[in-house]
Amino acid sequence: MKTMYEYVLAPDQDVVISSRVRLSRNYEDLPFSPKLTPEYAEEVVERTADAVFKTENGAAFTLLRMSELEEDARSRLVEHHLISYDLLKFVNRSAAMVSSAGTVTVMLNEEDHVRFQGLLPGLQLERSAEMALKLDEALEKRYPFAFDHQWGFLTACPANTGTGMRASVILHLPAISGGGQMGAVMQTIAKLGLTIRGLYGEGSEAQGNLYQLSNQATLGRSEEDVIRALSAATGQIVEHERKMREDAEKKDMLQLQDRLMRSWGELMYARLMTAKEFMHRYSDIRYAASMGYLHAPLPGLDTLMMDVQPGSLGVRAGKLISPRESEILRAKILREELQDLVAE
Amino acid sequence: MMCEDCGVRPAKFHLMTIINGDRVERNLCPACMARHQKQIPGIDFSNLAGILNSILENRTGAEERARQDAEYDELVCEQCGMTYGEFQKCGMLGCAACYQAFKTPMTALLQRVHGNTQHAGRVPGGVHSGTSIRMNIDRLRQKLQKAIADEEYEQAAKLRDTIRALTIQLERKETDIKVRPPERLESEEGEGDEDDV
Repeated sequence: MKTMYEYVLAPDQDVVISSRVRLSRNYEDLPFSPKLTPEYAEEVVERTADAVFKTENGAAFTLLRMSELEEDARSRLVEHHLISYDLLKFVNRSAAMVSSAGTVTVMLNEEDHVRFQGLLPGLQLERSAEMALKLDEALEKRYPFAFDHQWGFLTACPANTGTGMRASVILHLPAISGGGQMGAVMQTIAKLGLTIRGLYGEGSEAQGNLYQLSNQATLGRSEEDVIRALSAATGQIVEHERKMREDAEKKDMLQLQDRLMRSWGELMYARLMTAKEFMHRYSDIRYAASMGYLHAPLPGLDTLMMDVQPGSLGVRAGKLISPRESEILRAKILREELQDLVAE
Repeated sequence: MMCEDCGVRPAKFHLMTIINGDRVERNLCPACMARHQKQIPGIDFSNLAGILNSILENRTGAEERARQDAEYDELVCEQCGMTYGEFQKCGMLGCAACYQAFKTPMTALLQRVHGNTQHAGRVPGGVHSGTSIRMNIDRLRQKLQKAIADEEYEQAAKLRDTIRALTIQLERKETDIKVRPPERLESEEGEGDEDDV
């Protein structure tokens, strides 16, 4: 008998993969990142861990010191968006507190002393913000954060000063991107004080047609204002993407199905799969699933996508693996798990 | 890597713009990035002279700023010892007190990056922080507009009074909160009486 999987489809998940809100804070009496000695860094970890464990849901958190994790285990956390890539720039002193559900993370000693993160699937910015703010409010009662009435929360980099809040959504935009309309979307986004960039891949190449949309300024607008503006902009992009998907279907449904489902074939039978090719195929089958051509749950596809990224594969293999070995392992996992995901 | 635009601050963003179908990619610092994003829609790309002009203006603006910033290089934060020049190189401040120590250039920098220099968000203060009140006011304002549009003036007057009361409450809350001056980094102990906000 097949294992039963349970998936919850979050709001707008056909286009929005996840919503994330990060709050940057610094303890007012400790030096910031460039002047942070190992002793002060340890003080940050101890204070924060103590305060987080004492919150209502404190027992759900696990403290992970980056120096104590294998490289693949660290990468896996980045690939699952639980920590930022930047946290790994300070491996000697950085740590993360991860909630059991993986929806709330506290990053320690990254660019700022503390970064609270709320992460949820689909378009759920308000709820993500609420989760991060709740922790922020609980912690500030114990240890005051650097704050100035004119400039708000003081951060190591002035780009985050003010609310210290960076809210973002990850968008899957195969139809807008394939229709050559990303340029127009980017221009509109810039006018709104928001910024959009490819999530994976270098430079302008957006692997898997995944884009991250986030707020630019943190000073001069309230948290609610920023969340509202970002939600509204996301909603409009979602509508546009859906319209483009429908148009592509109207134009030549059979051709669209043929193109997308060929990727399914490749994934089901390939014996070697590079990370780059996978992202392209993943985008196709996610698009196909959202159109109902393929009966696979979107949350399952998204989890699988993160699970076959390089670091996560290494953790799964339990040892250091060569690029070729990871191509073989990726293809094998995909063959087995995709079969499982597809409904009868 | 330094910012390709001002050449003064380190690059933090990879900006891609598409102008008439041509892709332009640049590595920029936060300040120049913010400026670029604002200008993209403003420039009239159908007019070549306009493009050249704005590019030239940009360049002189960046040079001017770099010269001004150089004047502040010698500023030192007494709390942590960081100089403004050092900050320009690494892009990060040394402690909370640096903000006051570098106040003049910092105000200009924040204005460039955020287009604003006044915080409008949450203020520390526990569970009843201003955010929830502000959200409440927001919601009531929308109700008020609807009431006026529907000509329900009695309801509108009530809403107006509630909003007024909440605004006063919010202002009081914000002035009540004692801000800890960053200079007190090391003299924190023994002054805990002000901390129970």
